[in-house]
Order: sequence, then C-alpha cells, then structure tokens
Amino acid sequence: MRHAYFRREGRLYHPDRTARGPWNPDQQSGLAVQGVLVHAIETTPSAAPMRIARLTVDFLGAVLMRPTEARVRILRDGEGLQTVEASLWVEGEMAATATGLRVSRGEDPPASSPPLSYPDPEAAPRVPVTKYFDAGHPLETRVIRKAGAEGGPGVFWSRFNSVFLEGEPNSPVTRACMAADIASAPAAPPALKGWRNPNADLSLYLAREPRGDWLLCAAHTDVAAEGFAVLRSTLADADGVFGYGRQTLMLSPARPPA
Amino acid sequence: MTEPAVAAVAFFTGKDGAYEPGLNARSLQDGGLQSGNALGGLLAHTLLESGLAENLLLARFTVDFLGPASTAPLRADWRRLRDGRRTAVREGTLKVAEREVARATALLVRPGDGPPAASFVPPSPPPEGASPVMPSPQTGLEARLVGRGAVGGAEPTGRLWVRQLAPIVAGAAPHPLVAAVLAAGLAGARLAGVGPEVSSNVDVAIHFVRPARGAWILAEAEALWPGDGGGVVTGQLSDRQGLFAQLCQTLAGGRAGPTGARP
Repeated sequence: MRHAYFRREGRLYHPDRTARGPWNPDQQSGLAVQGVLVHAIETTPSAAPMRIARLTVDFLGAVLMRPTEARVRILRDGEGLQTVEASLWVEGEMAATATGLRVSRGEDPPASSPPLSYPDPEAAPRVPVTKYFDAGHPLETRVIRKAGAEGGPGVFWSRFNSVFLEGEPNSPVTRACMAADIASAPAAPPALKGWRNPNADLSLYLAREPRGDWLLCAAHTDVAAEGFAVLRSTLADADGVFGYGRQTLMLSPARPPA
Repeated sequence: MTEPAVAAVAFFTGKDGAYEPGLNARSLQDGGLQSGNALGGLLAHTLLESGLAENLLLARFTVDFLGPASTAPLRADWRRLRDGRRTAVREGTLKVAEREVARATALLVRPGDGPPAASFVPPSPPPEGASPVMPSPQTGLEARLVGRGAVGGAEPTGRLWVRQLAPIVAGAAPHPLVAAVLAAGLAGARLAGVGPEVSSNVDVAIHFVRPARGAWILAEAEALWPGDGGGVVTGQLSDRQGLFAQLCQTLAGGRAGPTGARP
C-alpha cells in the first residue's frame, strides 16, 4: 500500500518520504508543494461552491521535509469570485506562495471541449517522461511523443496512483498541477540538450476541472534569449481540453556525470 | 493655445505619492470607475519606479483585480518576496484609501547564458494593413482591428494591433513593459468573441519571452469556454519582429456567444 504524500493536523502538513523531491532528499518536490497550496486554497470557506480557475505558484526557496504550515488570506470575496493567497511556511520561513482565483461553479451542464487527437492512454507505450518517473513512482506517465526539431509539442498522459493527503480524495486540480509540472522533459526541444531547466513558477488556467484518472499534456518550450524559457502546455482529458499551464524555466548548463 | 487631444493626456498624474486618475483611466463601461487596463499599466509603471526590477528581466506579470476602483487617487506599494541567485519575486498592490483594488506578482530573472533563443515569424498584416478602431477617445490607446474571434467558430482568434498614445503617468517616458500590459488588457473576452455578460476584467497574466520592441503590439486572443462557471482566454503578444509574450485571462459568469461589442 502506498503512503500518502502528507498527513494533516490543522494547518500543519506532515510530509511522508513520498513527498521528497528528485534532487535533494531533504526537500519536498514541486508536486508536493503545489498540492498543499491547492488544498489550502480549495478548503478556504466560500460563499458558494467554487472551483479554482487560475492558480499561480511562486517557489521562494527550498521547502524542507519538515512540518509545513499553510496560511491563507482572502483578497477578494463574493458569491461569484474569490481570490485567495496561500503561503507555505517551514521553520518560520515562507517557502512558497500561490494565488488562487476561484469562480462559482456554473449551473449549466458542461459543454464539450475541443478534442485532442492523440492515442488513448491504454494504447500509449509505457514510456515514462523521465527515469525518475519509471516504475514505482506514484505518478504514472506514458509518453506519446517528445518535442522534436520540427517544433512539435511533447505529449504524454499521466495518472496519479496514490493518495496525496491522508484520508481525503485527491483534488482534480492537484492532478492537473502534477501533469503540468512535469512537462519540461518531454517538451524540451533539441536546442535544450545539455541544459538543465528547473521551473521557477507554475501557472494553471482551468476552464473546467479535469475528469477521469488519465490527464493528457501537450507542451511546447519557447527558449528566451537570456537563459530562461517559457513552457506552455495544453491540458486535456478524455472529454477534451480543460485548461492550460505555463512555467518559467531557468536554464543552466547540465553538469557532466561524475 | 489649443487643448491637447484627450488621447494624449496621461492616464494618471502623480501627486503627493498618489496617482490621480484622468479621463483615460476611466472604465468605458462605467465612468465612475477606473479601468482594469489602466490599473494594470500603473502596476507595471510602479514596479519599474520602485527600483525593484533593476538589472532584471520580467518573465511573468500576473495581475488580480480585487474589486471596483472608484476614481479616487491610488497608492502603490511593491515589496520583495524573493531575491535569489537567478530569480526574484515581487508583489505589488494598488489601494484606494485603505482598500486593495488590484494586486500583481512579478517573476524576474537575472540575465544569464542560454542556448539560442527561439525565432518567431513577424505577424501579418502589419498595423498599416489593419482597420482603425476608435472605441473611445478615452482609452489613450490607438487600436487597429485585424479580425474579431468567434468562440467555436472557424476563426476563433481575434487580432488587434495596439499602440500606446498617452503616458501612463504624466511625464513618464514610454516603456515596453507598460505598453505590453496595456495591450494585454485588450486581448480579452471581447476580442475573442465572448459576450458582454461575461466578466473579463478579473485577472491578466503575461509570460514574457523577451521585452517588446517598437510602439505597435499585436494582441491575439482565443476563448475556451466549456461552461463550468468560467473559461479561459489565451493569447499572445507580438511586435513587428514576432511573438514576445503569451497571455491568459480568466472568464467568469454568463454564457459565451458572439458579440458585437468593441474590445
């Protein structure tokens, strides 16, 4: 049985080892940090049932594998809209911040979204986005294609096979964050070979919440002139496109293997 | 002596540490309120004035509009959230009296080595080939429409060339960041063909690949509206040399549909 990423006690989130990042075992992964911020925003009381329409996350520094406090502040409150600022604090230091724009859920039945013409996840090869996500990682990924010299996007499916927060259902928005967050590897064009590209932020723009377990991400990287890049992704599920992701990638030469 | 054209009058006038809105800062829908476009431009200007963006490049600028802003003077404040080796994060607010009416976050990067930048095709037609639009002499912007978008239609993307005519603050020199934010404000629901019952002045986010060059900016917008209480407008900003930024806006409330409203 898999461990949940976090166990919550009030405003404190206790990370499990599954919340560790790929680069440093003492630090939480971006997936973990974003999920806590999403939970803090989604559980903020509101005047009407709401969903996150936009999420903007800024990573302010390393988030250590320690009990993590989430603080929220409501910036705008109404029946149709709510803007919430959430911040994560570890040992007295603010480590990440997010702004969530929430809209009241519509009464109209969701209309159709434009479909994306890629193979279903069951038909996609069992190729992970990177070795880190190979067999055993709770985020299962299946790459349909990697970005190529001709300029096409990197495309993959992802499915979260674990529990993010002990005792609570997984948030669809957290799963959308996960899909968007890991897009940089399959979306890296040949020009980025030899360059590391960690993200400094993550923005999600959601026209609706995702449905189903498998989420598709089609992502493209635009390399800027001064050592950074913008990653733009289109997010979809079996019913079609539901939103978009954007990340700022900081480029640095990859170190040769020791 | 003749009065200057309204279009050339500054959006705001600085006085005693506050910014007094002029005609060009007023909302076209409600003259008793300030426009979101002007507020976004003022946030960009005050970030530059704060000195907190010196020697840094702007990678992302996200503005949240937090409620109606009367035409009273505004006060701006910017603070540091992060000063890292490669990145910096700033947060800015605009207040009317003690009430926060808009808030922005800016992700800035220190220029560094990288692989060659992507190249983009110059947009067509140029502004000289587009049709002049004069939604109001109050906007302080010149706009030339290439075509309006249609939600779910054969041509979903609306395209509009925009040029800043009036300084954002009296005496301020033109700056590509301010011009980009003002142009982004027009790349919203109306340009994408979404009906006027949908609120589009909720937020705007701009993701820069590089700073804008030149006066004319092409704003492009397309709406995704699946009907769950909201939708998204995505678009891009280009100058004569090609794309320099991507943008997104949140749509809230109402139903989408064709519109004859001007952007």
